[in-house]
Amino acid sequence: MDSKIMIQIGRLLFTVALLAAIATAAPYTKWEALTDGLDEAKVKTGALVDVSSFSGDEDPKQPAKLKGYLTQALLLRDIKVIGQKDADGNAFSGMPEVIISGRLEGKGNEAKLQLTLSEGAKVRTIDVATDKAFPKTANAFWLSALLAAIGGVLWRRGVVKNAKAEAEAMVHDESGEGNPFALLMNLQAPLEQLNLDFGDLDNDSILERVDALIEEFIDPFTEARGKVTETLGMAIGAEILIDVAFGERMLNRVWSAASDDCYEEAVISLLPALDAFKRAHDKAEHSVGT
Amino acid sequence: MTDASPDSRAGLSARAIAKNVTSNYRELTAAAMILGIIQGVVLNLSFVYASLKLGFSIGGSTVAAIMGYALLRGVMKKGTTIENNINQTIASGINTAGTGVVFTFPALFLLNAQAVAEGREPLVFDALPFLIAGVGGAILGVVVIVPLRKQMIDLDRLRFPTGVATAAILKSGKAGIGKAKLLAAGFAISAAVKLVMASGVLNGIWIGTKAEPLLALHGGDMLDFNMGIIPLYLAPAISVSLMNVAAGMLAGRGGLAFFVGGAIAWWIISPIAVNLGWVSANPADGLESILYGSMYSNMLRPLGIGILIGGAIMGVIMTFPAIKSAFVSLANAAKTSNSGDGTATSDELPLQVLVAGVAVGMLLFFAAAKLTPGVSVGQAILAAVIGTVWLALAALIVAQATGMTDISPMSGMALISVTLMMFLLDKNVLASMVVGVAVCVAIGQGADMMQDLKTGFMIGGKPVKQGIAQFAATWMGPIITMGALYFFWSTGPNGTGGFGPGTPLPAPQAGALMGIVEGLSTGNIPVDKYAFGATLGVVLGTAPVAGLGVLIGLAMYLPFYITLGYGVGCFLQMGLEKWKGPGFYQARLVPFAAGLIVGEALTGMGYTAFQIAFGGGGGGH
Repeated sequence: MDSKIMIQIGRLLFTVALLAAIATAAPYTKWEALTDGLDEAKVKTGALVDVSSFSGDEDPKQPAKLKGYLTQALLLRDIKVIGQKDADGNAFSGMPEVIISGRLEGKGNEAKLQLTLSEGAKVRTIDVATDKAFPKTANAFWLSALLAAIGGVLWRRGVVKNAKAEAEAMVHDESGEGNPFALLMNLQAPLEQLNLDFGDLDNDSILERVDALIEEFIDPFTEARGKVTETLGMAIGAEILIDVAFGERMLNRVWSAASDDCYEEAVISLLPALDAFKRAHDKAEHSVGT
Repeated sequence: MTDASPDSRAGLSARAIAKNVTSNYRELTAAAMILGIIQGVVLNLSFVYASLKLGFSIGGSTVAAIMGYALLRGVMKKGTTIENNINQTIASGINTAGTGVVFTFPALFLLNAQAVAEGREPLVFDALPFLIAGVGGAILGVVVIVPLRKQMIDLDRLRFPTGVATAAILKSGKAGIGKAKLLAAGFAISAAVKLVMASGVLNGIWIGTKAEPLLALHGGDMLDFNMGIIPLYLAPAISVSLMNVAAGMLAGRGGLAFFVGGAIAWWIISPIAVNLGWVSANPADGLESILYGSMYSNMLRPLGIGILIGGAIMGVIMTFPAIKSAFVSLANAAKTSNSGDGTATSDELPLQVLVAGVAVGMLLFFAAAKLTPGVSVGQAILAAVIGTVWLALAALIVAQATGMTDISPMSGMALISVTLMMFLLDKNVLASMVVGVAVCVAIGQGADMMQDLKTGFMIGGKPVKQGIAQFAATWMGPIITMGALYFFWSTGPNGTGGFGPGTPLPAPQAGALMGIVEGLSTGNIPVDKYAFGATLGVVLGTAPVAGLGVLIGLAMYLPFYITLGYGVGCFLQMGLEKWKGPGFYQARLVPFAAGLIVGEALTGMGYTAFQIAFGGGGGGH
């Protein structure tokens, strides 16, 4: 399959399936326990009710809302929900003042939620046993996650394949913007010039020259570094990037030493920087077979 | 010959000159270490108090760097940039080690006080195991994170915004007048905004009508922009924190996934959950109760913690060849550390030192667990081994999160630590808290060490010297903090109850952890969210986008108004770079953003100190 098509299909599958996985991961832990059905509790306002003793059908008028409130009551344990009203302050149709307060008693399989209910409230059996830890959407979640992972792998493989296809052209492109290999190659000459000129430079001139090298070559290389590992693989790519990072750190040390008027340290620190960038360049050239 | 005078070196190359010179460039000096320790102790004590009072702490790197600049360079006249870096490394190390203790240990005082008040059996505890655990955590936090320096700083190039800001301060004298002006401008703007926000003069201010404002400022620095039309469950609020925006500016496109994670949480999951009736979002409850309500605490936050863990594990797997390369490099360091050959391996902490550090840390971990009542030898071994493995993973997660966003999910990791140990140690609260203290100290140390190493990278410091400096002083942090905590506790009536709810030092983080411990005792653990989250983190790791899982997990873990402010910073950087060109970032944006970070941090700290000293907040102490 063409690498660009792999990337597009992989990215699309990854995104869509990932969103589905996140959405199906979201329902509350005890959601499943709340969807078995709702009963009518014929109790007086303020009475304490063990809801595990009821069974029956869900209230057809406001099932989702009631589920939500019960869920909250369950999860927040000692929550006090003082009636449930709509935005206008009216009680929900068919469910006046549903839950007054909730309290969890017992642990694990023995756990029961006790709710203080108003007259005519709709409740259902709530089983908070520990084997009900995962929501009903769990299967949809696992499937979506698997599809997203397949999409992610496809996307990644497409990127790697694409990078390899572009590698040859990139390595020989001496002026290409965002080409880390070209930047590494082009860095060698000004570095060597800095070495040759060093005896004639004062500390302020060293700062300027180092700043210029970092701004012109090293920062752009850093921005484009992902192409190094994509092209050469993680093992060799990492070696090159570590060499470049070491070179950059030593150049930064040259800068600090010059700023502190310690010319000797600046000279001493420049040499490992020169060697590191040379080593990185040689490895890159060797790895792509030029 | 050591002469490198302009006349003697004229016309020579660097290679030729280097053969005849030696350098006495100051780096790991007694002056830097003493100053770092003094600053670290002062910062630690100050921030223990601030953390008990406010519930958050502030990193001390920038303060220590500025003070170091003044004392080492200004007073002693011989300090260097990298010497000042050692000073700030030590100071922030001691300070951060205390943060891990102050977020966890006080919960035990509160749990014991509550048990006594309710007539239950008191939770009697001895300080020694916690002291040992804290010191062990401080050592382990450094040794487990150092091998990942190359991964995070050399390869992934994580931004570590505060590390960058500290480097900008260290370099400010010679970075050029243009950059210095930008740094100062950023500082002034951010300090002014922070001062106004912290003073609270604008709190509650609104535009539009009071009943239905278009814009309203509340919660300290949270700007509500629901405009009367955006549903509150879409979290229409943004943090008025320029430090937050600046961290986004330093991250740019790389931090965009962080914003995307928050958008998924609040613009996709939230409307689905509300409209399906899973949670209620009554506008009458107000924005803050919705932002921090059931949606956040029962759904998004635990899911985010799970994603963070899965994303970090997957990150390790996907970059395993590079990590292996880093370990090989460390092993080589042992052979070349004395050779001075100037290669990439000659200035790393040798692997043997790190292995010895892990062994000592685990031994302390074991001793701490064993000294806790009710813990058998087998359980102590389990706590030491599993605790160390989890600690290493948690340190990695926190260091990555800090590197990408400057935000540390320490409380989430503390929650997981205590959950894990309550499960492994048969709900032994004391033993679980011993591990919790060690893990919190360690993850704080790991993130701080990596941030300091980032600063060191940017000024050319040697990692081995920073590692030695951190090792030499960081163990002091937990000891100082615990001493301070016992002192503050003893200042209450009858020599107890000096902090906690209802006192001038409410210790909000400890109160939250106490609630968690009580919840765990009743089996209230969102297992599904952790499991689903970890799976999502692994799935996110399959995509070819570095750090995707950690960024999205962190975004779900945090309130959205913080994520949104960070996202604005990312978009600003991307827009400016597109408009002004690629060089604009380093030349202009970095010093300005560093100024914004430092300005808010220092003003916040100064304001807190002022409030405690003169605002009546510290009554009784």
